[in-house]
Amino acid sequence: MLIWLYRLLLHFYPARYRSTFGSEMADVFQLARQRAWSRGATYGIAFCLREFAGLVLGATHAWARQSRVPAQPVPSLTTAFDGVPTFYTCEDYVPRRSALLQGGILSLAFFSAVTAAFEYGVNHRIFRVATFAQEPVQSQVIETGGSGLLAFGRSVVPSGEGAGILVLGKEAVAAINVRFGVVSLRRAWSNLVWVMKARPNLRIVTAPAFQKPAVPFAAHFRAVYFRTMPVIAALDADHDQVISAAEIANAPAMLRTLDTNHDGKLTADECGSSASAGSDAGLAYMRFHPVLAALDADDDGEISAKEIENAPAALKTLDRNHDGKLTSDEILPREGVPAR
Amino acid sequence: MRSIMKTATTAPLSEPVLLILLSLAEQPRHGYGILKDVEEMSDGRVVLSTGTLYGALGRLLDDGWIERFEEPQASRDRQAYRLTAKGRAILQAEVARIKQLTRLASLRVSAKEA
Repeated sequence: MLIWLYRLLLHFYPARYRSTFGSEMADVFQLARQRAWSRGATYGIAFCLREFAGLVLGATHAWARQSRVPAQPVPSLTTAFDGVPTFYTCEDYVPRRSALLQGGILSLAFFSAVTAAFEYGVNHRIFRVATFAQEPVQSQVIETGGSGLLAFGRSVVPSGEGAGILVLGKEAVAAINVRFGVVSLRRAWSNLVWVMKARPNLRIVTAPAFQKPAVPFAAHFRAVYFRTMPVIAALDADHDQVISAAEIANAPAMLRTLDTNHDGKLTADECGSSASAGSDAGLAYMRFHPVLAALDADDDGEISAKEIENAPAALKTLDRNHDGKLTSDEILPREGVPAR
Repeated sequence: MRSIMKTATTAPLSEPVLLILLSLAEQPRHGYGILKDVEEMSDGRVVLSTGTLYGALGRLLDDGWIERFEEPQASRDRQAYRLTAKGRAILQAEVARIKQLTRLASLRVSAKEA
């Protein structure tokens, strides 16, 4: 039984090793087993445990050794019909199998790293091939935030049905040109087709064409101000860059939505300042913006609950032309003219 | 690679390898004979399994320290092993190293006791 099991375990060894030492090992095992069991059961059990552990370790080492010193045939001369060697090499070295395996794994890892760099290297300039921009609807403002990878990913194109401009960088244009030429850069082309189908309202232009439209800086600034200034964004509920009479009347309710800590008042940081509440920078921020300066009637750097309640009256003080609404020229800070 | 380094730098041999070489230094032996001799030489402290023994014999054969031959007088065709000239030289170098180490250790220990 034991010798049968031993011979079975010998099959864990490489075939070359087994053919050289297999029968000899089995013979020695038989003799050593008889000797061990003749000394008693304890010796016999210890012998068996040692033998089978040794077989496992020995087989492991044999395989490892075989991979280090492979039995490679020496390249032989191949002769053509006329007797002249058609192939000959003085080098009999052949890479071992483990080296080939490691090389394969390394190549795959390198390929994956390069692919990942292309896929996720969105903010790296050399990988940037397209820029997404919001379509100017009313204000002729073009937002140039964000960047994209037309050729390598679709996720950079915002979802939704809104209008916009997809600006192709020169790399993307080159990719498309290649597509119409001889070589097919399939992914760039399929992504572009996807964009055209999924976002029909997107206008696709090339970078040179995009840079030409003259967009007044004031218009750009106005749109950004109305969108990024929290108090103005809250008051201009319909985002038409005009605070209408109805929006002025509804100002207290809209201002209360900015009270994130629910203490009933608005501090500079709740109004969009990066400065902490009560700091000099916070106070300067409140004084700089006309709307905030008007709302903060007592000039203490925060808009109290009472001032929130009085917001419609305070906002009406900014209505210089008395048309009942506030337009950008009445709201935007003016250069050299402090709000307070 | 390991065997080449050992040859070049005469790095210390492991105890099982040293005992196998010592066993074959006296006379050629077959596998079971080596197994018993190693156990006797070490007073039962080193007991080799067949896997360990033939793993070591395989490496020694590959490195050319021992060679394999058929025992002519055996009742069965059994393979036996003997030291090569290279193996004997390495064994002598190892024994010299151990002697030097033992002499140094004796000097240091006796100096401390004095």
